[in-house]
Order: sequence, then C-alpha cells, then structure tokens
Amino acid sequence: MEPIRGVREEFGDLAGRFGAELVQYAFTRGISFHDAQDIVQRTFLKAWDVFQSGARPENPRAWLYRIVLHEASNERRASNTRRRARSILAGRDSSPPAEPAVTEEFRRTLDAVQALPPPYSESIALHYLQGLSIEETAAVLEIPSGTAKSQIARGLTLLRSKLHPLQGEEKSP
Amino acid sequence: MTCQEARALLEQSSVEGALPAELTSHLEACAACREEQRRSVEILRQLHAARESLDDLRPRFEETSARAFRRAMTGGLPAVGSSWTRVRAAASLLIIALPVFWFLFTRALPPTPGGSRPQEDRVRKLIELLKDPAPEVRARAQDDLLDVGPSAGPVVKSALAGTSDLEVRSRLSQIAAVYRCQEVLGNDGGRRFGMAGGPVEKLRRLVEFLEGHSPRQLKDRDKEVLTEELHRGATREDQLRLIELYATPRDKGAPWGDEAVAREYAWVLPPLLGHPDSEVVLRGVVALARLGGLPAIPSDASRPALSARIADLLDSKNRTLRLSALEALGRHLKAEAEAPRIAPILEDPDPELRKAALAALGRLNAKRFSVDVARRLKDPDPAVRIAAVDVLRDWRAKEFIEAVAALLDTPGVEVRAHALTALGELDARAYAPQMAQALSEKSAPVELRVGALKGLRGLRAVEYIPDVVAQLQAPEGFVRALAVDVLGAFGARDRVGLVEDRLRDPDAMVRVFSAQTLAVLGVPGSKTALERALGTEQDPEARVAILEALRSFGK
Repeated sequence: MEPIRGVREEFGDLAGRFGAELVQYAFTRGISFHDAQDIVQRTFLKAWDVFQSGARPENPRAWLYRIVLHEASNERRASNTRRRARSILAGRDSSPPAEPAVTEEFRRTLDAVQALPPPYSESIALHYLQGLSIEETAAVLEIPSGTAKSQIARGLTLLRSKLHPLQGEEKSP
Repeated sequence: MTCQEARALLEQSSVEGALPAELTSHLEACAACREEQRRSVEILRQLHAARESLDDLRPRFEETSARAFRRAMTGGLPAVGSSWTRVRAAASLLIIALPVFWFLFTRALPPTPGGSRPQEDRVRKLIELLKDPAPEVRARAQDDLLDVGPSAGPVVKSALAGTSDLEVRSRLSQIAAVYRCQEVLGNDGGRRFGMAGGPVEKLRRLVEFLEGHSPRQLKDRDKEVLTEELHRGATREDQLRLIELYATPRDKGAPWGDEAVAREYAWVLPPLLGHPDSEVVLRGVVALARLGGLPAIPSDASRPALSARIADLLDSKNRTLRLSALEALGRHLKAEAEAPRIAPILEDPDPELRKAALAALGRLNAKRFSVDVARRLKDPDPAVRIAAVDVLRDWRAKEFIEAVAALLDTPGVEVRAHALTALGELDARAYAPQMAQALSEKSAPVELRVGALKGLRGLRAVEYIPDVVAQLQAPEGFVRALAVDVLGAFGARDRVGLVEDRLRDPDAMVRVFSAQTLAVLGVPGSKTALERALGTEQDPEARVAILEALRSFGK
C-alpha cells in the first residue's frame, strides 16, 4: 500500500497545478465564485478518492476538467433549488466571497459564450478562455480533435451573430 | 469561389489562423465577405480580451482553489477556533444592535391599538402585497416578511392555507421554510442558539427540518451550529438517526438527495467519532466510508484509537453490530493491529460471523493467522469454507495447497469450484489434470467448469488448450466468454481463427471478450475479421471493444 502521506503530497501537487484554472473554468461556465469553490471542492474530493485507490488517470488535467464539467452541469440543474435556498437563508449567509468587478465587455462576452448551445459553449470556453489547445479541448470533451475544431468554428459563427449581428440577422437564442 | 464556400473557409480559418490564398482573393473582391471577416476578427479580439481579464483574476482563482482544497482534505469540517470567534463577534454585535433594531422596528409599525395586533396587521398587509401586479413590490413584500421573523409564522401559515394563487403559495411556503430554519438554527432573538428548548429538542427539530429540505440550503454558519449541536448532549437515537440521514442516498428511501450531496455534507460526521458510545462511532465510520470522508481522519494518530474502540464492539451481544464492526475494521479502517481480536471469531458458533472474520483477516493481510484460516477449510458451513479458500488464494499461501486440494473430494460444487480456481492461483500444477477432467465431463456443473477454466488460466497450462477450446461450444455464454479469455491468457495465437469465429457469437459478451482477446493475441490477420465484424455489429459495448481492438492494431 502506498504511504498515505506520499499520496497526499502527490495529490496536493496536482491540485496546486490545476486548481486555479478549474475554479476559473467553473467561473466561465456561469458559476458564481462561491459555488465555484464548492464545485472544485467536490472535484478534489472525487479525485482524492480515485488517488487513494491507487489509480492514476492518464491525462489528469483533462480528467479534472471533466469532473468540473460534470459538477458544473449538476450545479446548473440544481440552480433553482439553490436560488430558493439563498432566499431562504437571505440575510444569514456568513460571508460568501464577493463576486469580482469585471468590465461590461467581459461580462457580455462571457454571457454570450455561456448562452451558446452546450457543445459549442464548452469548446469555445475551453479553447479561448482556458487557453487549451484543440487536442486538449478534445481530450476534455472526449471527442476527436476534428470534431472539437468544427465545434469551435461553429461556435465562433454563432457567437458572431450573437455579439455582432448584421442588420436583419436573427440573433441566435 | 462562391460566398458560401468563402464563409465556410472563413469559419475554418478562424480556428486555424491562416487564410488560404483563394479566400484572400475572394475577400478582396467581395465586400459582404470582408464584413464577415471583420466580425470574425472582432469576436476573436473580444475572446482574447476576456482571457486577459481572466488572467487578471488569477489570484482570486488561486485563493478559491486553495480554500476548496483545504476543505476537501479536511472533510469540509469548519475550524473550531474561527467558528467561536465569529459566533462571539456575532453575539456581541447582536447585543448592541438588537435594542436599536427593535426601536426602529416598533417605530416603523402603524399606530394601531390592540397589543400584538400591529405586527399581525402589518404581516397581513405584506401578504396582500404578494399579489401586487408589480414584481418589485411582490419581491419587496417577501423580503419584508422575512425580516419580521418566525413570530409571523402563524399568520403566514393561515394565509398559505387560504390561497390558491400559485405564486403567492410559492412565496409563502418559502417564507414559512425560512421561519422554520430560523427557529431551528436560532436567528430569532439574539440569543446564541435562539430557540427555546434543550439541545435534544433542537436536534429533533433540526432532523425534521433536514428531512424536509435539501442540505444545499445550509451554509457554513449553519454547519458550524449543527456540528456544535451534535456535540452537545443530543440523544443517542437522534444522533444515529442523523448519521443515517447523511449516509443514505435517496435511492434507499432517504430524503437526502443524491450521494454527491450527502458527500458534500460528510463534514458533520467526524465530530461523532469521538462520541462516548462506540456504536455511534462505528456507524459514523461506516457512514463516512460510504461518503468518501474517511481521508479526513488522520491515519497516524486517530485511526488506531478509533479502531480500538470499534474492536470493543466485537464482544457485543448484538450480531449486526459485530458484523458491521468486522467490516469497518477490515474494509474501512484497515486496522491491522486489531487482527488478534478478530481471529478468535473464526471459532464463533455463528457461520456469518466466521465468514465476516475471514473476510476481515483477508483484507488485513493478516498472514500470521493463516493456520487458523486454513482450519476453516474443514468448517461445517460451505460458505465459510469458500471464504477460507478465497483468503488463502489471495494470500498465495502455497503451504496449504494440500488442504485446499482435499476440498476437491467434498460434496459441495461451489466449494470444489473455488478450490480449483485457488489451486490454479497457487500454482499447484499437479492438479491440472483434475481441472481438465472437470472440463471434459459432460455432466459437470457449470460452476465446476468455470472454476476449472480459471484454475487452468492461473496455471497457464497451455497443454490443455484443446479442453479450453471445447468450452467455446458451451451452452452458457459466460463460459464461452471465459474460454475465449483463457485462450488470450495462454497467448494461443495458433487458435486465433476460433476466437475470430466468436465475433459472430449470438451472445454480445462473448463478442466483447473475443475482440479484446484478438487485441491481446495481436495476430495481424485478425484486423480483417474485426473490420468485418464492425460492419455488422449492433451492440454498443461490442462495437466499442472492436474499435479499441482495431486501434491496438494501429488503425
């Protein structure tokens, strides 16, 4: 059996290397800072379970991204419950981290990316906002590189009609 | 080049960067496509700017990640020191703020005669405003009702019972939930935990609250209060009930949400591990293990003490507790030091306990008790004999080959099957003929044939390939699949044609194993058979197996 301290250190290295970009990714998927922390915490818990079992993912970065992606989609599904929960606990919340001040253009771009249909939105966010290569994006989404490339291209077209519609061009939903 | 073609190329080039020459010349000639290109460039600029803004936020992301990591690795347990500081600060603030708040509140009320009537009237007016056509008025009214607090509960409840308006009902039920939450968690009077009643009563009401709500509604401060409550003399039954709530996912009937949610709230359990009642400790360990929260318990100091307390339960008169303690010691806590307290249970009159003790010793790799384990090969209960065989097999305890082989002459088919498999794993080549014989007997039960196939696989007894091949025609799909797997383990490249034939087996599992085995054997000619099979294969798992096999051939 591997000594637990060694595994913990190894896991700590991994978390240190990719943790910030995972929070960033959750944030770009429309999750608040407060909930992004929860999501990444759950991601670490799941990953730690796997690490403890002795298994090591081939591509840890893509693997962690996939867990965040899954957790973020659960989070969005549960958003109605959470909104209610927030209203229930309104005024009693200890001190959720303040959302950062961002520029109007940044917010508009992020909103537009989030509003794209899921496959395009995820590809665009991973490639342009997270700075992953096409191959890395494909690895996270578990799709061939060619598919990732065409999703990104299609996503850009949709984004164009959303952010800079031509006169008479219908805004995409 | 048409505009449509140009735009397709433009779409492609926006990802790849470089503009093809033919597109450049088209753009020079076509103003509409140039405009399209300008918009593309603008989008890329915006995405680039967004990336830079995200880079600026990097310190925040790092800080949040570090906090998430700390909480994940401590099971989300709040730090007691900071909790106390915050609670003390909040209490001081409330003591100062409460009279001021009360003064302002009473002044805000309309001067209506009649004792508690002013508040009741105000609440009724606010409830009326929940029907206002302006959404901001409705939202404001809801906020104001929340500010009034649980004392408005009876009026809100009666209004809820008397309205059929869906939105009003929804708002009122949310408000009623807030009031209950405030009552339970004590936000209603400035006292530390607010509500009347002792800790037992609080916990009971808390459990009722939790049963009706998602734990996502709880925030950090609530967690701290709850943890504190659990420490303070709640009844044992309530604590056990709470543990069950945390540990049981919805599919087992608990109203607790899915397992992921329960895991998120495993923080509440570690404090229970110091409980004076060992049963509470045991249930806490099992629940924590189920939720993946055990890593939060330090392995160096706390675990031995915890294991020792759970080992005390091995002497309990409660059979279920003893079984659960054996599982916790063997599976969850890996309590090697407790093996001497487990070993005597091998002689217990209850066969279930003997079996559980064998499993625990096996998991603890307690080989110093191998003689005691081997003694159980003669146990009157066949399930105990099987458990003993499996432990000796896992330990590769070759010194007991003869004792295991003696089981081949006993009546139980399953025991004999496990013995054959174990003999293979123990490398007892002398028993290969008996394995082959089990395969060749037409009337041999399926369990025995499976045990024999596994035994031969363990021995890598390639001289018995014909006996294995004969099992490719077995009536049971899983026997055929196992036979295919054994041929792969033998590296029987000269039988590759037979494995390829199994790609057309009526059972999809056999086709999956065949594809995997062809990849293992790696005979280049199999690629054609795999490609042909891919053309007709409908089963998704088999298709995946075939594709993976083809990939291993370099496709």
